Amino acid sequence: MNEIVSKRMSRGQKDKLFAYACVAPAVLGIGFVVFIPIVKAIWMSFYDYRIATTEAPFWNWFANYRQLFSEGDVWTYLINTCVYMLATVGIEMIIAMVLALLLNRNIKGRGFFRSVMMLPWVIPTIVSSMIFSWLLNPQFGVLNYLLHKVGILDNVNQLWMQDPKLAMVSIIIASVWKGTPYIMLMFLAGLQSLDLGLKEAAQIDGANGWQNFIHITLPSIRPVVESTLVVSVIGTSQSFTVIYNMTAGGPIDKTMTFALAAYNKAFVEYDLGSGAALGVIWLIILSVAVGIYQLISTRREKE
Amino acid sequence: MKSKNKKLENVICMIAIVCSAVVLLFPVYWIILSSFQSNGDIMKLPPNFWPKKVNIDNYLKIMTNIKYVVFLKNSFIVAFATVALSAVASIFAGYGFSRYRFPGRQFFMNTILNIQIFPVTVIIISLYTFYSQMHLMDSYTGLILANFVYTLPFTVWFMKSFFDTIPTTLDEAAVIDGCGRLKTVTTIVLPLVKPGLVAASIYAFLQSWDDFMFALVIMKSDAKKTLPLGIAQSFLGEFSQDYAGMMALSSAACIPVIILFALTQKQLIGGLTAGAVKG
Repeated sequence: MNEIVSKRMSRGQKDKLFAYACVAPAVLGIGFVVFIPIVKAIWMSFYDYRIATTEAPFWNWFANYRQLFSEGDVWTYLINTCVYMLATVGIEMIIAMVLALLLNRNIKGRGFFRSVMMLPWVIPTIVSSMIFSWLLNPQFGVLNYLLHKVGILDNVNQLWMQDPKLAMVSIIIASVWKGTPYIMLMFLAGLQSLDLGLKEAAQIDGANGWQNFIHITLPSIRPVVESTLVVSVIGTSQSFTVIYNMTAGGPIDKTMTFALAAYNKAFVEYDLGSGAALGVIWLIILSVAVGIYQLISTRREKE
Repeated sequence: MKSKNKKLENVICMIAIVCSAVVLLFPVYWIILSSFQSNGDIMKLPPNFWPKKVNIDNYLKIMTNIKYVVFLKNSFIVAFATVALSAVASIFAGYGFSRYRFPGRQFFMNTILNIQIFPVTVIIISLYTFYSQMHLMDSYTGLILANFVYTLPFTVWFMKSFFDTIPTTLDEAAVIDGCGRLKTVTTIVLPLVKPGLVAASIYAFLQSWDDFMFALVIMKSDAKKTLPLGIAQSFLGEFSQDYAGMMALSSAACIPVIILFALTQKQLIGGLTAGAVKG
């Protein structure tokens, strides 16, 4: 009798089994596409793993890492990635905040404007890269024409993506255009959940618009701002489509970020090991940054 | 006096909003405008800010050339399959995470939510070696699998929060009535989370449609390439710069997603912002 009972599963066990079966497809998918590849990439980064040696990759005593650091390329990629990421996210946040504050007012057609402004988010990234390549075209680009017409540019054939200084500016412009609407949407949602009573009380106390924003609005939506910041920083640091299609990392590596460099090492130079090593370096930097952020935010919560 | 100030403020805000919208939308206008002109008409200064005459040759070219139709077809195949897989996986995972407590639950949930932190470029390098061994290179299966997994952080979390809003008493009543677990999900609870499923699926579609990098590495033959690769690779050569054709194909690539967004923006925006407000 006891045997029969133990062979049949209890209700609780069945529940557990069913729960595991439910989450299995998602978990297995992530295991196969994300987890195993990450582990293998870390392993690859210590090996001489080229297309020619795929059959028998061999341990090369950190040669991938040593070479990346000794040639000094890593510092270039690090600076480029940070400049691109900080500028893009910073500008996006400021513009998004201004737009969200504007759209948060009681204005006619608010819903319409919000939808219309989401368009850059909806259209494919490749399309936004191509539009900006076209808008910034040195010969026939409309931006040069307009800037020349209003007197900002002397040269109507100003180079953008091909110019060592302006290449970074070009990809930042395109990325900001694409990325701002989503952040605006998040900020707007945060603003709309605000307690209006606080604001009114402050207004009665004689606070002006700016004081109101700094002391009431901003602290109340800080959770939204912070979570959006983290998501944007991680996302932007991985930007590939815009950079690959507008400048491909050039000219002379001026827009070569980690994402582009890892791709080039692996799929242009066919040195998969070095590509993986670059990615691992970036993964460590990113993890440390996120870890520090989480440490600070949990400590602050305790206070 | 005060109301007058308020009115003036509103007018200034309105002007600022309209100006921002114009700046934000100008690039979109510019693709559409360029796509309706010949290369000769767009490659000149000063540019036409208004179509002199509407020219649909670019669209005729991309509709009659089988090469472009194939890109479009591939993008649809990959996107639909991604949506289907993502829907099934996220319904069950969302339900499992919402209803059951089991060892590893928190770990799995955090992992799914945080896969973004792993650089895609690294993943793609080693995924490439696996795909080569498993003959998944240049295959729909390979690209769909990668796209599908990258929709999960959003769709699973989103479905879970939707299931969370439905009282568990409903499931319990179903079980008492003799309804099995699987049947409870598919016939009792699922119909109630339909709006959530719509938003999650639209999101998955947008993401798959937007993918460039996975397709760039995985899809090597012209017969398998998706629309983003087609846009990037077929118009700008060393000898010819067919911006007008590129803008026409780009506009074509925007049409499905803009229609989807217009039809479902309420659910989609609700879903995207639900997490922001909760913090």
